[in-house]
Amino acid sequence: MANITDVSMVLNRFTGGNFGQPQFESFWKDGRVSGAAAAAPIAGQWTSLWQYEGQPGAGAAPTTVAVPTNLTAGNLGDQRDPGGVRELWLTAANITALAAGYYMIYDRLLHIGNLSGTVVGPQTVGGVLTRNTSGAGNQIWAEVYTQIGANTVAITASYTNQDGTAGQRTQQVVIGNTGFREAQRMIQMPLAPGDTGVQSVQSAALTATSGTAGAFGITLLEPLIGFCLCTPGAGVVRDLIAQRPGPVKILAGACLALMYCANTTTVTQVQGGLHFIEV
Amino acid sequence: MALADYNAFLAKLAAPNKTHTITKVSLTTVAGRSFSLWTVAPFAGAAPTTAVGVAGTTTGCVWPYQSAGTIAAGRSLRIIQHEMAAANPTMLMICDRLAHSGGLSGTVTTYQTTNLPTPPLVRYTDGAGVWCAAEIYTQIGATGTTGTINYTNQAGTSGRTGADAPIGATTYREASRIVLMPLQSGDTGVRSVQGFQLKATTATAGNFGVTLFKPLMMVPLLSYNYEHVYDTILGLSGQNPVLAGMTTPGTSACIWYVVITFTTAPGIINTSTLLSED
Repeated sequence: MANITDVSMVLNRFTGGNFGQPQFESFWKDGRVSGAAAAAPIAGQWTSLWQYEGQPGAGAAPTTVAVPTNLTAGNLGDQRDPGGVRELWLTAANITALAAGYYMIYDRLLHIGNLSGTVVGPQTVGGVLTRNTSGAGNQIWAEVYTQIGANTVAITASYTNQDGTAGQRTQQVVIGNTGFREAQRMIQMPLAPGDTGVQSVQSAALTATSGTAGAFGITLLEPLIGFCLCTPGAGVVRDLIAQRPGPVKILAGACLALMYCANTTTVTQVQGGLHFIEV
Repeated sequence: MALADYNAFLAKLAAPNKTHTITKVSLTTVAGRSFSLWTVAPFAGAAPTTAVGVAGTTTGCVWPYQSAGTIAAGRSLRIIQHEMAAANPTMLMICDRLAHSGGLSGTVTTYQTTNLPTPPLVRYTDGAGVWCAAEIYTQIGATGTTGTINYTNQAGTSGRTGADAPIGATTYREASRIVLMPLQSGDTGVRSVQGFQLKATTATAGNFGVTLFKPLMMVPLLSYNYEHVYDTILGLSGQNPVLAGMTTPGTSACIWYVVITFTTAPGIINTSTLLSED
């Protein structure tokens, strides 16, 4: 919070003072992908809303490795980058949804698709981060774009950690079969003990074939804010000056995206808003 | 004009420029879906019969006495506090209703242009962040299908085609339901809508139209038979939207409520909102 000094200063920026440039960016996402109902979520598993239709329009499934930005189709915030030497801060967020669950807004740092559910052994990821390049706090997730197979297998990734140490390996987690193979499924890949972040991912490897190629990818992300949505419909508002986690710095070019851990199998619809100021 | 510090904000709270206190009767909703209070009494608006831009002087605006031109040039009118009470948990969206149309049919499967295109926007004219909904005035049919809009996006590119949105059948056909229309990938707003296409008939014509609006605030009410008071600085962290068009006669914001409910009705809704001129 290098540039934030006190409440009066923030209040002044809220009302447009000193180039505060307040932005309220609203969004909604419907449980539909490519013109059809989205795959039903699995209770207790994470679902990506990257490809959900709505406003802004849907994000596309990546093919080759890419670094999404705030100008990439699917960026939830549609936020402007700060001017001059100013910083952009998220100071409030609201969300309501059709389905209960834990919703998380994150910065989508890097993604790749087109990995196969039948290829055993390393599949190249690569790419270079342009945001949060120290890697601190970054996470590795497997993201399914087209359903893979019904065999339960494991996946690991080879990565460079927050200290620049290459050749680190994530702990094995399950992928494939019900709950771990459906389109939009997100599966977190725990880092090696002692690691707290990721600078790059070299490859991802299945231990065996899942039985169907489908298409999945690796998404490198930085979590920003989470919401426990216990009262569907009514939603929740988060004042980030007075409530956790406090104001959230949004890096220039950040691609904001949404995912959620479902409480039920109801396909969700989400509406929300994000409030930013420049400081 | 920006507030200098917290003391300046306290002074505005102590002496707001306007206080709007209104009641809306309940309506039947579908849990978790968006419903319009445009035609809900009191301050009920009428189902439009043409495509028209709406303003604070239009019947249906919930803060109807915010007459245009009452705010001096160079000054602004912003929401600084909002109180809300309802019988059931509800998310209230405070929106600026920009333009609307009616007369579309739930049985016509050819490209419909009745009362379209929507007129040029006079607020948020670039369309950035402007949402589009199919607003149902008379219930349409029980057969589910999908619809798409043909529109001009926030960059002024015409001929954009939105993604399919479910319409018709339970949850997507009831009077006052607003079915949000998804945009084409890469788009972030709507300047105007040229036409609407149903993929198949819903089996009953009913009456629906296209509404363009800008969400300003989203206010959750989390408890039954309770009230929430939101200080827009300390409770909503800066969501103190400035109402658009208040300095020019005929262009003032048309404030309109949308609700998303936890159950099948919000119950009676009471709101009281403080606005400050600065």
